[in-house]
Amino acid sequence: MSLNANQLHFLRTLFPDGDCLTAPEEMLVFETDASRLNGAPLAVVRPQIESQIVELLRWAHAECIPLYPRARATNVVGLCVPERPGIVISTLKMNRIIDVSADDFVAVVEPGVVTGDLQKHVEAMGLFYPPDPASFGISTIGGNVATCAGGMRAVKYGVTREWVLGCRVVLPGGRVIECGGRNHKNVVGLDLTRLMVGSEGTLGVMSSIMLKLMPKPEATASLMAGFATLEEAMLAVGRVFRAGVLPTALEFMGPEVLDCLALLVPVPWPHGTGAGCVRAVLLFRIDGSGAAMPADLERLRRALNDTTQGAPMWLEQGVGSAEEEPLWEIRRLINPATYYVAPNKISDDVTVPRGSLLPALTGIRDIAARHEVPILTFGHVGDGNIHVNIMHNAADAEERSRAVEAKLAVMELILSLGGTLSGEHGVGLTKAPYVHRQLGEDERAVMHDIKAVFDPNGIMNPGKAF
Amino acid sequence: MSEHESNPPAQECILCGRCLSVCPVLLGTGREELSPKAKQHMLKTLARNPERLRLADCRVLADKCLSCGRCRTVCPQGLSVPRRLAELRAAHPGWQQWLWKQWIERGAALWPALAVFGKVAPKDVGPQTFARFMDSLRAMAPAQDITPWLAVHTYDSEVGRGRSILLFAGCTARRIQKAWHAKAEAILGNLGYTVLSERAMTCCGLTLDHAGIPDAAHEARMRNVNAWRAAGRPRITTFCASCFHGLGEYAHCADVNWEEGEAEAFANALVPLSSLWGETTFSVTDAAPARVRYHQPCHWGGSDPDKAWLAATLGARISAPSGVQCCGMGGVLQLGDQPLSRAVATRCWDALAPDEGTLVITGCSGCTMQLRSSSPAMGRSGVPVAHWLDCVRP
Repeated sequence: MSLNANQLHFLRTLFPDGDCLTAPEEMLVFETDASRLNGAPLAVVRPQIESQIVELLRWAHAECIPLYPRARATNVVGLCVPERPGIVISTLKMNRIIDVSADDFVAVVEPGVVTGDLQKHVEAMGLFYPPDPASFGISTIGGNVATCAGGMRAVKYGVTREWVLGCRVVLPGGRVIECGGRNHKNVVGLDLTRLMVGSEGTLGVMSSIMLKLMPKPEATASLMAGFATLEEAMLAVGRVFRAGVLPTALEFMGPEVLDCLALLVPVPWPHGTGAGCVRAVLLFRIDGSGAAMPADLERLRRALNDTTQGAPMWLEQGVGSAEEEPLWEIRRLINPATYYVAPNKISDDVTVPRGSLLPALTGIRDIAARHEVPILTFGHVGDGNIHVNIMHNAADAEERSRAVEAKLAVMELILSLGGTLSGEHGVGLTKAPYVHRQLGEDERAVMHDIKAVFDPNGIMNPGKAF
Repeated sequence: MSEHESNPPAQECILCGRCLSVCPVLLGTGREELSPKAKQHMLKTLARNPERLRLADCRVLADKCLSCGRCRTVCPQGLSVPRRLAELRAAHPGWQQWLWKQWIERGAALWPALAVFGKVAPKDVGPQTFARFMDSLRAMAPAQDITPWLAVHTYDSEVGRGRSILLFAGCTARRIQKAWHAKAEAILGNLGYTVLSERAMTCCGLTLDHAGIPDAAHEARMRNVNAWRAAGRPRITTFCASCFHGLGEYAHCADVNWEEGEAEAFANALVPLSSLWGETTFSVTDAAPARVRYHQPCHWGGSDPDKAWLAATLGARISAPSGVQCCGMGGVLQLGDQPLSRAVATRCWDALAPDEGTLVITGCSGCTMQLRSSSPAMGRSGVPVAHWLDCVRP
């Protein structure tokens, strides 16, 4: 399939000056994303203002041409991959921070703004936008909202959904709807904003997004704790919450993750498999007032240091961002480090109710042994979110099939514990074949009906999500 | 050896997108097809499915890189796009590479000729490009608008007592900005060093390498290493971030015939000029500008000794924009796609946000040239741009 002369003329007129790409060499990177799956873009367009999106969606709706919105394409589930031939919409030229109000505690931004840039901008004004997916320095608000990105601070502050007050959305056919607004409370009508957040580009194209802000916490501190076993680390998680501590963030890294991080960078904990070596790590962050910080840290340390259940064998503390950053950078390097184990991965980010973490993690360990594939587990245990990376060499058909079997076994395990297929990465292409295992037929039928109201011709990011 | 270590790490782009946040070309244009990630994906596709792409069109995209090396510093796989592109260019030589070689090797004599090339360049878009090209050339004239205002109060002459040092001035200072060379020599002498002749040395080779002329780069490296050996393997210093980066790469170059331990000795011998002050004290004279903005050269790669020294010396008088700010000078882009180079420079100037009392200072020959040629109009003339040596009264 290719675009005809009229269609090309339309696109080149609407997107002049290098903002409409049709040469295979220029379009190449737009065929893929961090999932490393491939599709086939017919053209790539770069809107700079909303009216261009309106015209594009009016036209694409009439022509029944699939559209694939995309920003930095850092998602790992194939969300941006144009699986069916269609037009990629790059939002990288819509990257303006339109308004930040210290009175309303609201930021209005275009979808291509990098989350970390917005955070720096508002923090300079004493304000705070808490969602911090591991990719915050490289991913965008548009992508974060489309996937309802989570992040490390979600334990205390919740995921992206909690921070989106509204958005302007262009629908197929060219209608523009305004969801929500600048009010922190608003119960009038159905909550279309919540419907848009996490819709994975399947309903429309967001042209601007209104975000909730809060006052920036005065102080932060982090504590990294190394344990002899996975079980001891999980028992410590329970102790901390029971002691009345609500960490801002609480991350977990399993033994296989510690091994592959050690291949990539020098790690601070005693590394190895012998006695005295750390085999599981918890990383806490707390925030609040500067005066309270030493007392809060002490309370956290007391909760951890329980000798009957296995106290941490190694601790490192950082107070203030300069001291904390090296600890968190290690956490962010996990994704790249995984490729030191094997060239391919099946990546899942399942969730379980917080109380089921230990059976989930030990169950996954058993599955890895049974299927003879390395499975890395890490993630946001503070909210029951486990990243599961099944490492393998896809060129080896037998190994690949063992990895796929292991993935299915992990899914069975997680669903049997009352968990979900994805806590934050989204469904995209990679999880779409399994969605029916979590969602019932009736629920999915309702979702399809809702999509048909927004996108009757099914042109928005087809084949994804549900 | 563990099971994991026995597998070589996967040295392939994983499309994670970290490079997009530091690439000046991407940040200046919003064009993802010009990002390091896109170039890696293109090179991989060329290697595996060459029938999908036209090599000539790929080369046009490949040349739109500033060779700043920022992508390598954030790449979890340790991949260097400038290096990959240099290999591509080396395999398919073209006119730009030849031009650069001429520029670096023949120096000043060729610049008027370059202006002629500007007219006939394939991607030339007419008189405007030519005019900008002439701006670049004019910028190479010695600075006349900077009155030195940072006076050395007392030298720490113990720093270099009894030591010899090679001053690696670099192509720009050797041929155009001779005052930098003379000042640096005077400073080193006052610090107690015996300054050795660098006459046997040549271009550091960085530009030649990025332009895809590995033979010439190798020749330059060997000449410099042999000159260092002949001088008795002394300390080497430079006042240009790009030269420092270029020389620093030598220790990792397999094509240099290093003896055992010699590469490490060379790396250790290399020190930035601004780190040699010791306990030297300074005073700021009345000629000082109201506001000093610092431009950080990409080639310091994250640890910038000039910035540290200037901040300690000038305190609140100096400030720098945050985030990634590249002047747009680097690599073959300057010759191949001047409008793109200009777009990157414009973003850099927006972040510098100069006013009428502002002086911009930096510590790289290339950045100084590019910033001077792209300096926006301010009052009766452009914003003054100086190498920090221009400001020092030794």
